[in-house]
Parts: sequence; structure tokens; C-alpha cells
Amino acid sequence: MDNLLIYARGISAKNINTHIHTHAALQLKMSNLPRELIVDILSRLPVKSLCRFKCVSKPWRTLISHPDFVKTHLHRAQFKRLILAFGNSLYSIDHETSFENDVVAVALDYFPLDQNNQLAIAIIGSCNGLLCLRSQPNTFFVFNPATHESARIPDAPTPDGFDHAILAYGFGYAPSIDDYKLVKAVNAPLVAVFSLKTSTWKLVEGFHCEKSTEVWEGSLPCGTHLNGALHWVFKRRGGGECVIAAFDLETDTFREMPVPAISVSGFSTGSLKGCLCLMDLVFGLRRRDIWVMKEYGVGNSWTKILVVDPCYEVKPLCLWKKSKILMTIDRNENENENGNELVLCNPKDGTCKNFEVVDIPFWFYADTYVESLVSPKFSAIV
Amino acid sequence: MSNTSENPKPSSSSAKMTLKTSDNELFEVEEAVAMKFCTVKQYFEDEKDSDVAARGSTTVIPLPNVHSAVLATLISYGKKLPQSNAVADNHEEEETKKKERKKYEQGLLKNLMPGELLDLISAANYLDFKEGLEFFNQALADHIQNKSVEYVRKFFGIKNDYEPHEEEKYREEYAWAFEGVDED
Repeated sequence: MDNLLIYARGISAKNINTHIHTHAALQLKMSNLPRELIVDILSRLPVKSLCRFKCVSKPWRTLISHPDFVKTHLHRAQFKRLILAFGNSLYSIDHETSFENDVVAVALDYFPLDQNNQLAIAIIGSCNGLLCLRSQPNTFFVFNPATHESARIPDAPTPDGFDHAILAYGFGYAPSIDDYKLVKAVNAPLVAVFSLKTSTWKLVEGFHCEKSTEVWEGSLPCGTHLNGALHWVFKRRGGGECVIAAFDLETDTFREMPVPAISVSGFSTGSLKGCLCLMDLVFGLRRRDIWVMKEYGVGNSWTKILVVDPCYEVKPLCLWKKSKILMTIDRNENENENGNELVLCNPKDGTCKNFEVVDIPFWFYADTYVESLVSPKFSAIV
Repeated sequence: MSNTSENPKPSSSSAKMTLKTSDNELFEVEEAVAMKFCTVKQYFEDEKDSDVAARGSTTVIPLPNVHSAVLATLISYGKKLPQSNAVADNHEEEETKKKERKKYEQGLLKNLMPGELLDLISAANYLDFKEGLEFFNQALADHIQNKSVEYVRKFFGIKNDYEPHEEEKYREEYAWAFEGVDED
């Protein structure tokens, strides 16, 4: 405690009482740091530190576990990561602070997986630090990689023909009701929705397109979560037109979103910098045009920002170091060959460079997540 | 430790103010810097209303909760921040200043004892010095990030109110969070 000497200058035997008094005064000052400052300081810490510091004292445990603190900490979104799923394994990557040639993936071996699991893990969605994962055809988990907590989602109700008809999934957050939902979208008329808050499934009306009664064609990639809604692109059977269905997670209802005035032969959705993206496969060419809806809901704000070629599938993940776009890319038409890679793309000139991960040449699912204290178990007592 | 502002520019027309610390030291500070301490700004604005003629250097603003060592550091940090009344720099000048500031910040933190951080934070909070608070709060967070529970308790003067068996149970359950922690 040498720093005490700043305040108790010129200590001598005579002043010992003063010294002790000053020491006590300093201790008092330290523990009198106002609560809002402690909250400010703690909210800057990574989740691992916060989980450890719950052990400092019971008041600290209460503070760190409090929903308001969890929100404050989440709002800073200070620690962003990539998550990769390959086979039965999950990997986390600190992509923002890594140097380009030194990107190391950390295996997450604490995710509770049945050892007999034959199916690869699929990442259904990611928001606020929670990942929704599928380990078996019908087994879903909500998992927080930062706190190591996970919760298994109870099986969905199965009306006749339900399982055969499942074509799309999505996982998202509805801020207005503070609830996370897993959506299993099926052919009209039914969609199954699981609410984490109520821990229950319910069946709601499916998507009806005004123009046609049968919209779906084939199975779809997972819905893009944005602005409290999940988005899928449906292509009309036999036609070239597509339609974007947005599932509002607050009201559990579908609405239609405007598409760019283009004809598409294949497509998928994504999000970048808070805007909805549409990836359009140009017919006859192994090329994907990436469109961004600059103003949510405004049809003529669709803007083409990038052309990626050669590739078959591409999904933008995030902005990397504020200037480049990090994307997953599949250069092969055959889905089971070689999986996805990561590329860094410079939007100014369209050049792409491989973003290599040490020891992991490719994988099947990739997404981003932010480290947070959000619990997958809504009724968890900490 | 300086108790006057460094290198007053002859051409500077900015007024100066005098701040008096808890240990009765006087600091003469340029108005532009002092105004970053919102508490001072408020005091100054209140005083201004009552005595228009006696501006700046003849007004001594008392800061009974701030020690001179702490104020010196805060003023020094405040001077390095972009001044709100400065002429807009071109991009190159801005970048140079940014780099200078980064270097200054690193040097400042290297020479700081952890206990001093708490005093700087308390003082910056009292003075309502937002940029200073932001910087020192982050510095403290960085400092404790990898520290042990015992260190944090001692540092903040927090009493451990867990029963031994409760604490033991927690440490087992969250063993992963206790790995790789700095030794005390």
C-alpha cells in the first residue's frame, strides 16, 4: 500500500496515529465509490471477469446479475466474436483483435452434446449473445458461449405432417416484449413459435402471399434476424419473382417486404450494418450480387453494393475493422463438398482475400455473436 | 508538480481561472480546459451572473474534495483533449494530435499507481469531467480485468459476505472463470 504515502506525507513515529487515521480514511473512500461508477467500470469487463467477480460479495453478485446491468453491459457490445460450427464442434474466434495471419479458433468443448450425435451442429441464429443451435433433426438448444450456460428447447408439438413440412428456421429477439423466439416455418397455414420467456410453443398462421397460394420452393436458409423480425425470401414456384416475408416477433404475424426490381434465380438474406441484404445468384453465372436495403421497408432504397465471383453461396457476417466486409463463402455448387471459407472483402474495389483460421480450413456454419450475460434460462436464479 | 499553467501562449486571449484544492494549492488554468470540468463551469456561470467585472483570474474556485496531485493529473489530461474553441485542424494535424494523445495516455497509465486511479475517478466524477471519467474508468476496468477475487475485494475495500462453503461451491461451478487469473 505504498500509494498511501502520497496522502500521509512525512510520517514519523509521532504521527503514527495520523497514519492509521489516514489509512482508514482511504479505505473508507475506496469503498465509497458511488454505485453508478462501479456499474460503469464493471460494464466494460468481459463476461469471464464478471462471472468471477460475482464471487467478490453478495451485493456484487446481485448487481452483476441484475437485468438492468445485463442490458447496460450488452449495450456496450464491447467483445464481438465469430462462431463456427464444424461437424460436432463449435469454435469461437476473436476476429477483431486478431492479426490477419494469426487467427486462432478456440474450441468450445463445454457445450452439452450427446456423444452419439451423428449430425453436424447447425447454427440457427444469434442475437444478444445467445445462439440457437440444432444438434439433431429436432433438438434445439439456446446457448450462451460466454457464460457457458445452455438450455434445451422442449420439443415442438407435432400435428400431422408437421415435421415433413418444415422448411425454414429462425431465431430472434423482440425488444418490445423482451423475448427470444425460435420459429419453425412451415407451409401455410402453420408456423410453430417457441417463446423463451413463457417456455411454450404455439402455432400461428403461416405466410400468405397475395399473389399466389403456394409460394415455397425447396428448403431455405435460416431467417435473418433484424429489427425484431425474421426475414426469409420465398421464390414463387415456377416463376422468377421472389418475395421477402418478415415475421414480426412481437405480434407473431407475417408481412411482406419490398424486393429490388430484379429477377432472381436464387437468393438468400443476410444483414450488414443493421440493414437487410439480399444475395442474388445471377442465372447461368457463378456470381452473387449483394444488395442492401438502406432504408428498412423502403423498396427503392435497395442498392447493389458488391458483386462476388466466383462463388455459389455467400453471406456477409459483419464489418471488419470498420472498413472491410467479412463474409462466408462457398465456392462449390455441391453443398457437401468443402464447406465454407471466410473472406475479407473490400467494398471499394470488390477485391476479396481469404481470412484464414489456424487449423480450420473450412466449416459449415458461421455467424457472429457478442459476449453478453444474457441467460438462456429465463427463470434462472443466480 | 506545477501549480501554474504551462507555457502560456502570448497570443492567447483565453481567460484563465484559478482553482483551489483541498490542500490549499492554487492552479491557474486556461478557461477552455477548466470548462471541461462541468462542476467548475457551473460554478463559474453562477459567479459570472453575480459579478461580471471580476471574471477569470480574480475568481478563485474552491475544490475542497480534490487533492492537488489529482487535480494536476486531471488538468494535464484535459489539456491534451481536443479543445472545443480551437480552430479546426486539417486531417493530418488531427491524426498527429491523436497519436500524441495516445502516447501521452500510455505514459500516464504506466506511471500511475492503481490506488491513484480510484482518486482520479472520484475527482473526475466530482468535477463532472466526462472525458476524464471515460478514460480512467476504462483504465481501471483494464487493470482489474484479469485480477483475482481477493485482489478486487482489497482494492475496493469490499467485505466478503459469503460463507466459506458458499464461496467454495461457486468457485467449483464456475471453475472456468477462475482460470488464467493474474497472481496477486
